[in-house]
Amino acid sequence: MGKHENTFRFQDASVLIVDENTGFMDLTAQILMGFGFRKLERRGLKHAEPAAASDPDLIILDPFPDLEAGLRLIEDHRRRQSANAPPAVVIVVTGHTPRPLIEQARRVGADYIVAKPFSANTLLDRILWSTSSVFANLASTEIDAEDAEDAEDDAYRASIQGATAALLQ
Amino acid sequence: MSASRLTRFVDLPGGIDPQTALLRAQANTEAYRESAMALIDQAIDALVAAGPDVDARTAARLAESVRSLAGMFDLSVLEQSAGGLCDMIRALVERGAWDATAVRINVQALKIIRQHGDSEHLEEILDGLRRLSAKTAKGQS
Repeated sequence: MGKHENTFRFQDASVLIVDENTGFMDLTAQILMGFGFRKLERRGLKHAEPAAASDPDLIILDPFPDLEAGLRLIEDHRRRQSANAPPAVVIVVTGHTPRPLIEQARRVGADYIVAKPFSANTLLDRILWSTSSVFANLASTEIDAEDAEDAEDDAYRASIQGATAALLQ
Repeated sequence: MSASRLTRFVDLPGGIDPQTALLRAQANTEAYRESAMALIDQAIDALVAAGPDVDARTAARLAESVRSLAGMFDLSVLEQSAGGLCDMIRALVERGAWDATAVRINVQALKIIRQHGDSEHLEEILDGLRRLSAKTAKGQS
């Protein structure tokens, strides 16, 4: 799987966006709606805990300013998910990306860390990458996403990036 | 097994391709520009209004809001100067020494940059802010 995945229909996919910056959260929602997502739940970090009952397909989370609470949210979600079902995709988006944060976020189950500000191209790239078989293989062997990008399926990435790079540069 | 829970939404009838998705996202982003500029102005005004007694956490949150929103709309000078303020606040917190004057100068610079637009002519201001931030981070006066 991978190279033939040229289209997608995310209208039935559920998304949880967690960000203390409501303006940035709204902007992220607008970008995701451009990608076709329609089921969007937005929460501030302080109020994200009750989301335990929800079961999003995609989580986009900025753990600042309460890093501990943000990472716990990811960890709790990963703990709840069934071992036999495909995993939700967790993308951490944040303005401050020191190495310890990246390592902690990966340890608790984040698939990607994307630095704010980001382009729509970058976000879509990560989302589409998460649908590929390479992502599943790497997740199952616990190789982190950055290594995956270096190691696997450059052609698939190029097909997405090549098609879109000119649009937002 | 599917790669992730998003895999089931790929290659369905009626789907869109990446180019279409990006064009729509770009249009939505552009439609949000005015709101984003208003939020940037509100954050800068809040920083100005807070004055020298602003707590570090609030200042960091507001500066980060300016930085990230400015960056999404290619306001690079504003993004860089707000980013410099974020870095300076982090450095001051780590040192356990607040420098109200340095913070105030950076906040005023944000206001000036916002008023005069994102222009390469502001490079001098940006250079001055970088020097100030570097000195402040090292604890020099």
